[in-house]
Amino acid sequence: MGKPVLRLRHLSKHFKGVRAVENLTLEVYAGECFGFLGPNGAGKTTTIGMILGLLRPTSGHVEVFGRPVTPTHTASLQEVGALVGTPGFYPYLSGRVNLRLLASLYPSVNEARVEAMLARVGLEAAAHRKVKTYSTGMKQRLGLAAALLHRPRLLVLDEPTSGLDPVGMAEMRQLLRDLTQDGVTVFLSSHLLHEVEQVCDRVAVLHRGQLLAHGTVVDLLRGHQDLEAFFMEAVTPTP
Amino acid sequence: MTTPSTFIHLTCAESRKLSGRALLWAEAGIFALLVGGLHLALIATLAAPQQQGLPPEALAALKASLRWPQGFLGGLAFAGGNGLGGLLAVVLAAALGGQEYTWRTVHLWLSRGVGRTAYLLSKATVLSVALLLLALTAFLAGAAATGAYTLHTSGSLPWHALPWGKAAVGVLAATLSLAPYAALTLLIAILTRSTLAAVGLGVGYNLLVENMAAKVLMLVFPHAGRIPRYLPAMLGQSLLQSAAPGSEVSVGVSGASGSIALLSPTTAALLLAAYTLAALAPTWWAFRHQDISA
Repeated sequence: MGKPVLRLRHLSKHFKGVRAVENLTLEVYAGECFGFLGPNGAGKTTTIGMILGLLRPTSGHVEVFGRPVTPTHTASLQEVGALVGTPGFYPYLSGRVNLRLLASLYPSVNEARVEAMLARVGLEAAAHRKVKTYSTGMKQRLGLAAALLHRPRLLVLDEPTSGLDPVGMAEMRQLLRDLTQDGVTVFLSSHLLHEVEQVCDRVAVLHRGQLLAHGTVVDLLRGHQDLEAFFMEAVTPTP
Repeated sequence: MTTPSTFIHLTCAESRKLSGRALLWAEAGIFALLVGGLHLALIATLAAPQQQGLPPEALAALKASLRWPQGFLGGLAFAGGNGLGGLLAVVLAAALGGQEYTWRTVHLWLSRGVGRTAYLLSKATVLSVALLLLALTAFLAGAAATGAYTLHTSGSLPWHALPWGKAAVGVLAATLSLAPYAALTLLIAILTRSTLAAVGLGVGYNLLVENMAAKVLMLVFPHAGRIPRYLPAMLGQSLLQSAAPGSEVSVGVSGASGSIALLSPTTAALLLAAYTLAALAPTWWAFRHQDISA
């Protein structure tokens, strides 16, 4: 295994008495695709919020590339790309101008890179249109282009295929494989267990804010028909 | 990401975001039409035959106040915080702050390592420039209307007699008088994460607290009559009347001061800056510590 790119240590987040995430510890290594699974309300998005410096942990800490991340310490996030839910963009601006705005933050990202990203996600023909005219799937594609724009070393994806059609989902799977082959580390939160099983090396299962299981896909599948069977067994309370 | 170059890039991005919005140009256009239109309406009223019953000196003084050079600064009367300018500043600040939450675009910047301080600072910088644009719009619209009247009545324009220096100071004074309202609205937008709440509370403060509550206070407690002059509305008026003396004459919107003695321009400017900072400081603190749901 490579060096840990992402490290969560005893991470907890409580909202007015609700324990959204409780004492979560895990590490994600360079170049791997890590699946982050859990039913609705398990705390996946809250965890991602803390990884991206949007939420302040109640206790514990997050490290990205060996440096701490909190809402006031976000320097290491410059090498992170994120796509969380349906991404937000300025609806009155075109897809291209939205990307240009983000590109202006990075000296290494030029106009050619913006166009290349638009082409990579299949939006070159609609790039001049205002984002308010985009479908959910198109916004998702633009979000992916924004996440990849600055050549991040870590990609954090929360339900990246929501809103995509089957073709888009297949393209996404291929893209994730390509990225990991290029050495990009992927942290993928998804409900689509089949998708995770196909592209991820290791997975963690979160339930009611707590880590139920984690390990390689191969190890977790031992004794189970597929990841769905493992997942159902893990999150269903034993009588 | 809080280096000076990041701040500059963020400010450029912020200005591109704002200049691409119809809201800014709609506000400037509405402001120009209203200021210019009100001046022209007053000019038309003065020209009506029934106004000839006014004492000749009063009529002459009123007409002079609508002609260059005296009327050159007339538009600034509207730009103050307690006038139309204040309401437009509230709407602009609410949209600039609150809609980033509604559109979930605040996530877009913060999740890629943009420092919260730099983000907020760039927003405040661009908002200040937008306020300057509003003040400039009011001044130019008033100057254009009174200039047209001057040309119509005199046949020429007294360019040599125009108080350009006072105009520049007046525009800056008007901008400063708008700043506390914009800062307070930005604070509400950050705290509530809602454009609508920020507009409602910002306008509510401007109309109810500053105008009505201050008057009620003065009626109920006559000895508390000095309080309103320390509120942003009166401070703005103190500043504008000293910085651009022509601005209070033309359309008569400055009657709110009544019998209250205004403060010196320096004191007024310092207090307006203090009010602005007093609103921006908790905005910065709240934003730095805010949980932003992913």
